[in-house]
Amino acid sequence: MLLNITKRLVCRKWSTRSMSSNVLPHNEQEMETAVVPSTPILKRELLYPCKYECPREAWVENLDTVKEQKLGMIHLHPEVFGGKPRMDLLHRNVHWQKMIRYVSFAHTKTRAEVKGGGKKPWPQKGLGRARHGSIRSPLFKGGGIAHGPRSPTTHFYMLNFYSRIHGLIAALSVKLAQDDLHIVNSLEIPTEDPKYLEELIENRNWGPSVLMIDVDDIMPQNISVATDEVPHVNLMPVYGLNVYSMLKHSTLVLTVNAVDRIEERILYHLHRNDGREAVKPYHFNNNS
Amino acid sequence: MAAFRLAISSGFRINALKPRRITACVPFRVVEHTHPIPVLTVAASHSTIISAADSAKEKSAPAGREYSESQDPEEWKYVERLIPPVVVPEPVPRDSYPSGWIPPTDESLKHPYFIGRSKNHMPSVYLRIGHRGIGKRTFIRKIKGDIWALERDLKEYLVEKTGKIIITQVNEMCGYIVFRGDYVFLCLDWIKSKGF
Repeated sequence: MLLNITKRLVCRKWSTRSMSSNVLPHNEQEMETAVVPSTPILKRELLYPCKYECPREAWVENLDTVKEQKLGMIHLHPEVFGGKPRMDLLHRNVHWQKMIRYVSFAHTKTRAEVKGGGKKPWPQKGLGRARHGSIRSPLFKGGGIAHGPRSPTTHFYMLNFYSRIHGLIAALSVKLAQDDLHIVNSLEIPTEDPKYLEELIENRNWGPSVLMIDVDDIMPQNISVATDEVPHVNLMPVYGLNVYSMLKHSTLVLTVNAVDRIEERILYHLHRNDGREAVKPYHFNNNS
Repeated sequence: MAAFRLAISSGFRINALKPRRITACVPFRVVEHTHPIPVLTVAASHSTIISAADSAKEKSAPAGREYSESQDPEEWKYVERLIPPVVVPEPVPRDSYPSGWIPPTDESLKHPYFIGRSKNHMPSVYLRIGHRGIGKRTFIRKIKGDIWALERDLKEYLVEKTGKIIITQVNEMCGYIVFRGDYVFLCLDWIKSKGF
């Protein structure tokens, strides 16, 4: 893996190309004959171009047919899709996502809550026994628990802002590096039948579970109906992108628009001037 | 939206009707999250030093202070230059900079390792001090490529320059190296010589 990285570093300086971002149109006839178009690189301008690192490249595929058609290749920003595979950050993010919603319902009674124990069991002096005030103190068998769990206990906390950003970067990079990231032009499919999706996933060797991400939370009708019936194929808007879901699903499918939006947001946070605002303690504001 | 009050003798008021995009240098893209333009109210007689007699006169004067709203870019540029940029801008290419800042060069691609810069375009060498001032550690962050070769080369340089035993820690997964001691300026010199 180090050798691959060093090869990439030694590559010549990459310069930006100023272009539009239209996907090449294709005719019905061309779809059947040619799988790869003659001009494979699709035009896409990267924000905050990286002078000393090469952009990553990924095929843009289609969802119209069961067999995949490669519509072209786009560049992906190395800071977003070419980050290090940070296992520690992935673990922290997943742990955070699990713990923020976990409520512990374990409960024990204190000495005040255990039934009985209001009376002093024996006089203070004269008996030669230890002095006690109540038979339900923590020292006694059957007594209350001093520092036991008290239900309900929340475990909410906010992970550091930049840990969360770099967690997303690590997850996206790991997915791309392990060939589990696919980019499609749009989420339009020809039928509402869930079998079409299952055949497509089978044909293309996508993992058993697929997470499809688009920009808007309103998705095309056919895919919405089809994925509704299949529990392991899920749709999500970009604002719902999270490390837990990315790792839970074997395959991640992004539309080109979603890639644009993800890169724009992550790169803004990596280059913003007011980092102090971002790392301020989280305050829940019920008024906004 | 914050309101600013300044003492200027000319006596015109500039009101912001809606936020406007900050037009700045090309290399970075303007994002939609511009700060709301503050309302700048500039009043003629609102000086900080007002005598009692004057203030009495002010209160009794008619309320209509003269102002005009302006959409002129030439006037607005005085407001826009006060607003901080939303993203860190790319430095303007020059032969030399008065601050002594040196940009990274293409020389940096010739090595089996690479040390990235921070978002403020500064070399990522940091001094962390703990243990009530006696525990000094020099961090080199954002390392890519063969981190072990980097550690070997940089350690050789530091030993040659200081003659001391240098204790290092290498974290390959996270891409940082730690030196026990304060070697920040030596590391910066070395980084400059390599072009990072």
